Amino acid sequence: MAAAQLELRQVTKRFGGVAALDGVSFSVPPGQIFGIIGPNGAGKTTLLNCISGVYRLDGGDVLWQGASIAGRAPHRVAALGIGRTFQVVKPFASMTVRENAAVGALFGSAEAHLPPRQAFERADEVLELVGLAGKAALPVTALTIPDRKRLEVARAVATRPRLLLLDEVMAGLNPVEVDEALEMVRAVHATGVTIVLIEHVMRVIVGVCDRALVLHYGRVLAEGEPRTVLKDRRVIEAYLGERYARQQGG
Amino acid sequence: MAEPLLSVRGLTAGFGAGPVLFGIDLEVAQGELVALIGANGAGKSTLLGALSGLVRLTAGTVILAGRDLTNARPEAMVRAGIAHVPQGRRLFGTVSVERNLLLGAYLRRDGEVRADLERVLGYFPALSDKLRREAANLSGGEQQMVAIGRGLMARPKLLMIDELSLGLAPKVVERLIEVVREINKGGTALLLVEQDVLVALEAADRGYVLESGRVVLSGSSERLRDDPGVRKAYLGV
Repeated sequence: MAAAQLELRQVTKRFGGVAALDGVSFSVPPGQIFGIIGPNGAGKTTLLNCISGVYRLDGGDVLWQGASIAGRAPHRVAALGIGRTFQVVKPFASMTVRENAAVGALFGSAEAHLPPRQAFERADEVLELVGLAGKAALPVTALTIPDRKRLEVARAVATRPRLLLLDEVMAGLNPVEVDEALEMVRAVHATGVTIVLIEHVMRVIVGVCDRALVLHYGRVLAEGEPRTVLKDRRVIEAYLGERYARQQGG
Repeated sequence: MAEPLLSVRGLTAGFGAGPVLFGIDLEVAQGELVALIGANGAGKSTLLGALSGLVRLTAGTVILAGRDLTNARPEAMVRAGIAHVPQGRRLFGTVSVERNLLLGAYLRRDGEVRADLERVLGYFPALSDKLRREAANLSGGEQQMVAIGRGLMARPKLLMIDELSLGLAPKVVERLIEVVREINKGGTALLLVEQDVLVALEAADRGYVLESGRVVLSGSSERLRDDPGVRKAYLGV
């Protein structure tokens, strides 16, 4: 098996008495698109927060290229080359689209941290990549929801990540916009970035992911090739109810 | 077929920049119990929001008992006969159970509010000796009873319940479903949003399946129970 770029070992995170994540382990080799799904409240965003340093772990370890990064501050994790987006996008409202993207290039991974002029060149590149080049000069407040999601990806890509964590960048998009967003993910992936993405839209999981992992109540319910995982009885149970799964299973 | 109680045509609605629902057609007949199912983010709660005046339509119509209620305000919806039991109950936690129930009748000026309170307590006898308690101190199942009871206190023609079983133990859900059926037998039409597909389809006469803001399947509950399209709407395969 190829060496993992990202590996989680028995990651546990509690809030009060509740284990939001309970011994989650998986690994992602470089170049993969790895999907994480699960019903609401399964712990998906908590998982991204544990990888990107927003939360401290209560147990287990996160390894980046074989070395532990658990406990590092978010900006240090970003500097290693792990970029992320947030489910609720919060661009800098007083700035243009281009300026927002440039921020990622100014304060990104070690390879980014560009001086201002190059940061703006980098911003132009990534806006081209996500399909926002034509709107670079607009104030960010003029963007539609789908475009704000694109900008969120652009800001993360501008940090020059080697691994990109995407938190529901397709949520709330219509089918046509989902197709466009899929193209964007493929385009970013084609630049050599490993991708871990959280999605509710199953078409996305089947459409772009090499592997998928299903979280349920903070535990790994199933992991494998997306189509196989989505036909797993335990997964049907988690999404449609236990009795429905039993009826389907015959 | 007789004129439906609720008739929704081409309903398109959403928040901010983009629609969440695209051209929804849906009907509920007098006295019918209809299930609305679909995965997270399919648009179920948004649809209930649009039917209770909380979410604006950008296209389409909502007709209740022959009256055009398209983009009517929430209080007008309640007055016209649509009551909404929101996801997560949304009770007034520091207020007594009795006050919570009576608030459901806030718009009513008739003299039968007390009688209806008795009727609600008939459906939910467990609440009878808890009327003075603060709503937040009740169990999850009891809170759901208060939320449904509050909806009934508006004396609706159509009662919409969002996520009846959310966070509740199977036994409690069974009991609530029984009561929902009783309420329905009493003549109130119901639109039931429910995460557990079989719970919904066993309770309902008919169902609609939403996926990404569109109705992808509809039909009798028996038909939907055996339709592989339901699973596909949730899991894509």
